Amino acid sequence: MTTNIATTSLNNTSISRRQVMIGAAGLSFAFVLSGPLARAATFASERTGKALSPWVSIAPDGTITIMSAATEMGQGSMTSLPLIVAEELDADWSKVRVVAAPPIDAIYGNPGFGGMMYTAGSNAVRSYYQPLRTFGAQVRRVLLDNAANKLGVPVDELTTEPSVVVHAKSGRRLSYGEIAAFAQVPDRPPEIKPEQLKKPSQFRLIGKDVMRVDLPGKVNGTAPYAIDVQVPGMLYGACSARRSRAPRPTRSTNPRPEP
Amino acid sequence: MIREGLKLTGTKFGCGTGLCGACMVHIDGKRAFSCQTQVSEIAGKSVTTIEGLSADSSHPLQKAWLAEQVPQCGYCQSGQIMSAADLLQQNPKPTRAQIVAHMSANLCRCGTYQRIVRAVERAAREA
Repeated sequence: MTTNIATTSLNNTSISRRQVMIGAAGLSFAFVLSGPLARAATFASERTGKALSPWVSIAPDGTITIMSAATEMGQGSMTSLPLIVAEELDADWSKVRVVAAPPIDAIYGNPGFGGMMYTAGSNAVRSYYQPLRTFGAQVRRVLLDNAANKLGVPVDELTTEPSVVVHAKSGRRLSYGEIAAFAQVPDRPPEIKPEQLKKPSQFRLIGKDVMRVDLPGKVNGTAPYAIDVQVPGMLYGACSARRSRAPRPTRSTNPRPEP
Repeated sequence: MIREGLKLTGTKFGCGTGLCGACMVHIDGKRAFSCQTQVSEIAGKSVTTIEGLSADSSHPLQKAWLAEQVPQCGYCQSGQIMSAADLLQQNPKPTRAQIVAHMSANLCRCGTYQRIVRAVERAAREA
């Protein structure tokens, strides 16, 4: 059941408690966007909360947590990138929770910047668009396959509405949260060809006016900025500008550098 | 004091010289640059920060700010909203020129001024 991606290369990466909690909450999906890991094991899931940092987690209560891999600076990436996943996953956007991805290039790196987590140049949507759509469609496909097994029907008789798998013929419905509670996940991701992605006319979210997820915190003072971070024993640093040409430090706590 | 002492980080530190308005709070209901205010000056007075404007983001300005999707980076917006709240308290139906004049105390590097004016107009209309 638990397939762990690329743990050898991630061993040096500290996984925060938050990530583990997300991983333990239900069904999680991860994939690797670029680099040497991308080809072999690009898809993984888990229930146990081991050291895997997911892109998408679906909790039994229907909450879908999607990581945002780009830095939100007011340009809206924290909304637009998860929205792309949600579109192809056919997720109910009102049940989506967006979490800023931890700094792990191997998993969240921008394909447009050689796999670095780097946000600049109007590059995020352009570079993540196709991979995130494909990934969202793969997760949706896994949910469909599981629902087909559970209902004992061919998968091509199933469709989705936001966060629900529907078998129109029998009128039966399974929510994504219900499926997350029993789903089995394949070792290899289902193949999704570009022509299997939604047509723009089928979009429910992309191109629509969606409230930016970062805005509520920006009208009540709760949005966290780097300057707001306070930790016990925090030290402050500042650059000291030189006052004259070729100055030399009068005193230094560092070992004297070799000339 | 506000940010590090009381841990109310919604009020931002900007220029530190009373030029940008990111630090705007209310003292006894009137706006004031907190970076230009000594603690000794506010003895016996009431200070309201963005956290105290409403308990649940229900102030008409906060609702209007979302409806108009005003913030980009958002760093100046606590101060913008506190300034606007002061304006509407004094003048519930300001003209556009009055809004622009009053809000000129607050800078926004993202350039959200057009939306700020629209949001203040909306709040005045819908409050």
